[in-house]
Formats: sequence, C-alpha cells, structure tokens
Amino acid sequence: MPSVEDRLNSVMLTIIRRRTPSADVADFDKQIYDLDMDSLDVVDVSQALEKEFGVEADLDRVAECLTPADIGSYFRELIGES
Amino acid sequence: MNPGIVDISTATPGEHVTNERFDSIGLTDEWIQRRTGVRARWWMDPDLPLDDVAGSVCAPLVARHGERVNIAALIVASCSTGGKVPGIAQRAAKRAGLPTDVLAFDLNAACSGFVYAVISGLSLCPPGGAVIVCAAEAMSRLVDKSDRNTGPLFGDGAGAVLIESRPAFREYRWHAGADGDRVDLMRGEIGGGIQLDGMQVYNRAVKTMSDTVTRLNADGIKSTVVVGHQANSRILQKVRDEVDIGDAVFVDSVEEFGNTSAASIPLALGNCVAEQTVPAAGRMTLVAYGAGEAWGGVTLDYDVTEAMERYAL
Repeated sequence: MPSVEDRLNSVMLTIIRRRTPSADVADFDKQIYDLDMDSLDVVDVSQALEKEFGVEADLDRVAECLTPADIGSYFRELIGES
Repeated sequence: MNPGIVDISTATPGEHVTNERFDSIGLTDEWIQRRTGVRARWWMDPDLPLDDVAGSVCAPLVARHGERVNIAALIVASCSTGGKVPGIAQRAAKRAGLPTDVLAFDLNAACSGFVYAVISGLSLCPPGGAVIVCAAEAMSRLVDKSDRNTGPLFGDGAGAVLIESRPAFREYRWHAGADGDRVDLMRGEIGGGIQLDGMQVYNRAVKTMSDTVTRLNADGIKSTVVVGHQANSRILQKVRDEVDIGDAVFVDSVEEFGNTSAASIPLALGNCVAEQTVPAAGRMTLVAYGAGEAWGGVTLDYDVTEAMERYAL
C-alpha cells in the first residue's frame, strides 16, 4: 500500500503535469501559476485529492494556497497526517 | 403513453462576436479558449424584445404541429427578461400563433431554467397532446462586457422543443435540487453585471451535474445522448470524465455560443440535430447547474427523425 505521501504526490503530479509535463515533486514549492496552472486546475487538484482520501475540502482554504506544497499541507491536516 | 421530445427550433439573432472583441480588455483568444472553451457568441440588439425572440423560435413548432396535435402549454425559461410584469410567455404564445386556450407562463431558474421547464412541461403534457418548452436569453444585457472575469463568457440565443405524448416513449425520470444558502456564488441583474465565484461554481457544477447524471442513469436505461448546460467546456469535460455514460454522445457546443444560460441546452441540441451528430431517436439526458443555486436533470425519450430529415434536404 503506497504511503499517504506517495498517494498525495501522485495525485497532484497527475494534474500538474497536464500543464507542465516536466513537473516533479521538487516543483511543489513553486507558485501554482508559475506551473502554468489556473484556478480551475486547482479545483481539479482539490477534487482529485478529495476522491483519493475520501474527505471534503474547504475550497476557500484551498484557494488560499499559493503552491502545490501548500495544498499538500492542507490535505495532510485534513486527513490527520500533519 | 409517455411524453418525449419530437421537434426543435433555435435562433441566434444579432451580432456574431468573436474573442478578438476582448483584446481591448487584455484577454486573448487563446486565454479565453483555454479557460472556457468559448470561441464566439451571439449578442442580440439591445432593443430587440425578448418575447419576440421567444415567439419567433416557437412559431415554427406551432406551424409544423399545431394542426396535428393539441399544444396545451408553453413554458418560457429565461433569467434575462429584466423581471418586468407581465412576463414574456403570454406575448410569446401570441406571436408563435398559439390559440388563447393555452397555459403560458415564465420560469426563472437561471442556467437550470430549461431543465426545470422540461420537467414541468413533461408533467403538464396531456395524453396524446403536446407542450412547448422554450428558453430565450439575452445575457449580453446582464453582463458587463468590460469585466475580465465574466465579459467573454456569456452569449444570447433561444431554443424551443415540442414535447409530445406518444405510445412508443418510455417513462421519464428527473432529479433536481436547490440550495439558497449558496445564492452568492452567482448573481446578476441588468445594468449591474454578473458576479461569479469561478472556483466554487466550477466545483459545485462538476459535483452536482455528475451526481445527477449518475442518479438518472441508475435505472439501467442507457442514454444515447447527454446534453449538459453549456457554461464552460472545462466543466463539461470534467463531468464527462466523472460519469459512466457508455457510448452516449456527450454534447459540447460551448465554443460556438458561449454560456447562454437557460438557452444553452436547446441551442446545443439544435446544433446536433442540424449537423446530424446525434442518433435521430433514443434516450436523452439533460443536466444543468446554475445560480440559486439550482441544479437538476431529466432523462427522457426523443424522436427527432422528421427534424433531421428537414435539415438533410
């Protein structure tokens, strides 16, 4: 069974790579918009993580995230892994 | 006998406006298409009465079927009438050539208006009779065209379907919902622009429309065509990815019309009929999400063989 961290990274990379195919975990500290993502891509990330972990996110909180790492931190908090 | 859709008529009067119009507010064609899928939209003359538009799009249906079948009702869905009293359905009925013994009324459920009107029309359709469900929108009168968030999104147009009760049609199903606590996600008024929380609307639209289609298809009767509210291609694509619709045609005509609110589904469907891109008869699922918030869907049989033959001539 992959770890929470691996699942989280895998889900986020799948969405991010639609815009930036070369993206990797090392890019998670970059600004979301520097990864060529827009606000709807951020919703896609949120929905994909909700589905992966069976949780419901507060989209206002997700919208405040500036980087994929921020989104990851929020979801770790949400699923009790922070 | 059960009611289903048997004919359609659409209209896009006015100016064809491409994305280049928005260069002046710093939005490129590429930017707009990537975020919305919209390439162009139609904007009506600001002085064109919406009841004239609704009446003119219903008139061909009355002319083709009025002698053959009793058309008992006309429902006109619109959120861009300006809220005046009276509404527009009664004058639209007169302009369409309907007799005075017809139930004619307006319905406003914003972008879900056509689906709500179809659900209502199905329940009003008498055995062996028919009803017309129309949607007519002039969103260009609500939207602030200089607003970078909403200016390029919306368009105008009208469409109407004839719903007729026939022995061959199977029972329809519907599912709908509303949540007044989410009214601030989308609101608008003529002269005041449209306010839209894009992320929340996208999130809610995908979830509610996907859930609705899944519920409607749970009876095991597969749809041959699915037409979602044509607000944004990104929403439609996401819904398409989320639900199992088998081999059904999933319609996306956002690029041609933009978001025409209640009129988007009949415009998209009319396009498919004209271009012969859907089976002439089968099972149709219509689904929408919009301001209110209000969402819903309906699955019903249809047979537009004669309409397609007209276009093929």
